Amino acid sequence: MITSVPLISVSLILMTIGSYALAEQSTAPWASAVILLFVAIKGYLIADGFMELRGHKRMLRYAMALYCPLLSLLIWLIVKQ
Amino acid sequence: MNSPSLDATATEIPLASGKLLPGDFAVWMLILIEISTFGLMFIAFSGMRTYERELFLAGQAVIHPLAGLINTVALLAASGFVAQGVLDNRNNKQQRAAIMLFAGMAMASVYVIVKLWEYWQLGSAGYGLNGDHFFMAYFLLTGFHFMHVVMGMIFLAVMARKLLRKAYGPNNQAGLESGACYWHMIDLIWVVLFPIVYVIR
Repeated sequence: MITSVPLISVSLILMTIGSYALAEQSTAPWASAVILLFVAIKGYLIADGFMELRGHKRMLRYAMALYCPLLSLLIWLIVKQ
Repeated sequence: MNSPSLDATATEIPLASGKLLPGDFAVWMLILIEISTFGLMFIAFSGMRTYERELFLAGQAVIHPLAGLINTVALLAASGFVAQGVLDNRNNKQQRAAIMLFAGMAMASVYVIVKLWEYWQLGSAGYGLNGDHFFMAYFLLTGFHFMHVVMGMIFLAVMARKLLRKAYGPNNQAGLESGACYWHMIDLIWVVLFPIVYVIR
């Protein structure tokens, strides 16, 4: 887990640019899956990093950390139909 | 609240040691309600897209993905500045923390300008809330988020002012942490919104 604020910021921005570039190259379902995987990782980094939930043993941390991964999975299941 | 990270380096986010959350518990309840609401809107948007695929693809061809990318980078950078501001306050550097919050507001202003430009462009071309399902959903989703960004910027301005007055400090940071978490929630929502509205085809 990255714990440095600048590193988290750079990782988030690079994943965003990567998603954009990938979408420009391909509209295949696998590309959507990779983009949504990036969303899941970004959500986790924001919740555990920026929101400082890393290390908390509360349900709230798990709810926040799982928000993007679960939502991404749901969206993927809907979109791929 | 987290224990002050005076022993940590200036940019390292500390590992939470206790059970107390950063900020006020009420703010976390608000955040849960907000992300649940947006989550339902995202699922509805994706569902609508499945039934009207051609219409949504045509709509996506009209909006500006590059504007979406610029907005995403601006919001992520703003969140980075706000997170750094919280750490600086904890390290008793209130002035530097205020500068970080102002930097965050500057990045958020980029988002506001680009978003208003997008709305102006689409409005000039005759697209609006009363258009087809794609544009109705687009304006509702992004408009609702836009209102949150403006509200978040007001919070950032108030917090920066309080930092300059030294109203926050290492032992008085719940308000700052609450506002920062609210701001990160806005970022978290946009992280999901950007791909499903602008990117995924």
